[in-house]
Parts: sequence; structure tokens; C-alpha cells
Amino acid sequence: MGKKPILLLLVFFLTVCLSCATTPKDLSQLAFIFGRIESADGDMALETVDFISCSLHEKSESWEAYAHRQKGYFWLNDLKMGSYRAVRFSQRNWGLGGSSGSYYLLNKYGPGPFMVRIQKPGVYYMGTYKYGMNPKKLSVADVLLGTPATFSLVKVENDNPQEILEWILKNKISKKSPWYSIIEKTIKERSWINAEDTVKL
Amino acid sequence: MQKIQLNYKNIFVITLFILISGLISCVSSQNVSSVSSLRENDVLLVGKVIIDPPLQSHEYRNIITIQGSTGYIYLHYSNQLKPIKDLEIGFKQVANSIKTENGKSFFVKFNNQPLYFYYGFIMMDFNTDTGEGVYAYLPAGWVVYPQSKDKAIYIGTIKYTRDEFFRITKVELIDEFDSVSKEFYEKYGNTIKLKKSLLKAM
Repeated sequence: MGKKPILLLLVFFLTVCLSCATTPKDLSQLAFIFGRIESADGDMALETVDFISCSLHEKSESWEAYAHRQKGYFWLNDLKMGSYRAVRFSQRNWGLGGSSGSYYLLNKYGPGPFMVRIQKPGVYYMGTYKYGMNPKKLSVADVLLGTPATFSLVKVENDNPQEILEWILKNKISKKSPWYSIIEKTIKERSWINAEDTVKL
Repeated sequence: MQKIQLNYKNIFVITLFILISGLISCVSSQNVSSVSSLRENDVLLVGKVIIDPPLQSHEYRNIITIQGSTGYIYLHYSNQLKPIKDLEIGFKQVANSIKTENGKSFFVKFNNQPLYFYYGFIMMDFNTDTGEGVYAYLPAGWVVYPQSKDKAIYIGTIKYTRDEFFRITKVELIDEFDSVSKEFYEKYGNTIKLKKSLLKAM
């Protein structure tokens, strides 16, 4: 093969790659979700919140939401139309000796917090929940077998979605992102969609 | 809901657990092949559970443990009416459950005593970090009182309607006595009579 066909192929692939990279996202079929997890003990160090898609016809896919460690804010963009739920969140604390982490499992089936049914594009507020460890005296068997501790998650009624969204917009969304103007408009009009309303029975 | 320490992993315990589980996973009440196995004080319980939309194979991971086998429906029962603290699932609950498949009739042998159905469950996965199954729960809360002369009773078809989050949106008790009794007589012949005794709320 001569040099010319190789060069042509290279130009073709570069053109394809560049066009992919510069094609603006079509947000008319995508959604942005956000929410907050608080700790009852005030020791929040949120690392991530894991979401899965819920479908009767397709295998579940998973996503890791972005998170703000101390504030417990989380957000995820570019979700396609469909149903989603959080299945776990994790904490990681850093100290002189390195880091230690825990993760918290949420219901994967049945009722639970942080569920949404996205049927139209927009910005969805997943709610604010506060978690606290359930007090339990550990038995010898618990220690030997490493039985997991349990926790409860309670919906926070005096939440502030506007504050969360403003912080995300100011600190985490680039002005070049197509989401910037949409979130800005959503804050101005207070037009976020409450995820809870989308999954009411 | 459970909190897991990330640095904990006892692979030996988990492996042992799964191995033992495989050996003793067949303890749930299962179908009776012949009425000759019925003793004097036994009664054959006949019924069906329907999950609508049906469970698809992509929704669960194939695994057999002491806490159940994925893809099967378990209806947990007791002969005593008692308050339950939580929806615990372990060897005891699996052993005291009817194990059945979606949409298929079950024919299960019991002592002739009242039978209280507390809750149902489907094992969907197994979490190796917690050493526990991951379940979808099914509401219950029914009782059946077999009469002393009963040898086989039809308790009804329980139909659970669910959404994409596996929330149960509707529970119906359907009377399919005609079709199920046809199946019963084809399976066991006419040596014993199938009586209708539908489940009642506790």
C-alpha cells in the first residue's frame, strides 16, 4: 500500500474524530439530576452516589454521580429518557495514615429514596435525605463474621434545591457546557422537576 | 439498609458459605410427584403465583445459596400467627417457604394445620461483601385453614403487578380453580379430591 491511501485514511479518521468531539449534544432528549445526602452526625465525606437504570425490558446500566464531599451534593448529567434509582453511596475519609471508606446500600428493588422516571428533558431534583447509623450492640458473631451495620435514611423537609443547584452551576458547570444556560434558566424560574412526583404510585 | 466497610473481605467465609448453601438449598417446600407420599395428616396445597410483567432472565444473576435460588418465588409461611419484626431472610425462612416458578402451579405437601403466609421474596442477586442475598419482596398476609378431612386444597392464584422499580402496584387473588383442577387430576388422577379453599386475609 502506498503512502497516499494511508494519509487519506488518517485524514478521514481525524475528521471523524474531530466531528464527534465538536458535535454539540442534543439536550432535547437528555436530563440533569441533582440532590443531596446529609449525615446526622455531621461527618459527611461523600465520595459518590451510584445510580442504575430500571427497565422491564433492558439490562440495568450504572452511573456514578459527581459529588461534593462536605456538602453532600451530587449531580449527574446527560441521562436519557428512562427510569433510574440510586443503589448505593460511599464515603471516604482521609487521614495521616491514608484513607478509609464505607459504602451504604440502598434498596435495589421495591420502594426507596432517589428514584426518578424521566419522560421529558429537564432538570430533576432527587431530594435531600439525611442518614444516621442505627444503634446496635455488636455480638461476637457480628465481629467474627463482619456483619454489616444498618442505617436509616430520612427525607429532609426543609431542603433547599435552589442552593444546591446554584452551587453546582457556579462551581462545576463550565459556561461552555450546553447545560449551563439550561440550569441558569431553571434556577431563575425555579422550574426543576421534583423526581418524587414522577414516581408516585 | 446496610453500611459496608470497604476494607472488609472475608473470602474464605463467603466461599464456604456459598458451597454449603449449594448443598442445602433444596429445603423449601417443593412439588409432590405422587399422592402416595401423602401421610394421614398431610394435605396437598395447590396454587399459583404470577408476577406481571414476568421476571426476565436479565433482571437477576443465576446463583444458588442458603438464602434461596435466584429467579424463584418464595412464599414464607408459618403454622402460627405471630408478629414479625422485619422481613428477615435466612435458612429458616427459606426452609419455611413454598418455592415456585412464575405462572406455574405448585402442589406442595403440608401438615394439616392453619398456614399463615407472611411475605414473599425473590432472590435477585448475592452480595459477596455482605454475604447476603439481594431480594425483591412480595406482600402477603393471608391464611388458609384446611379442614381435617381435606387431602388437597386449591388456595388461589396470587397475581402481583409490578413497575420497573419492582414496586408491587397491585395484588389480586384470582380463582382459577377450573383450569388448575384439570391440571391437578391430570397429574395425580382421581384418587384424592381437590377442594377450593381460597386464601383469606389474616
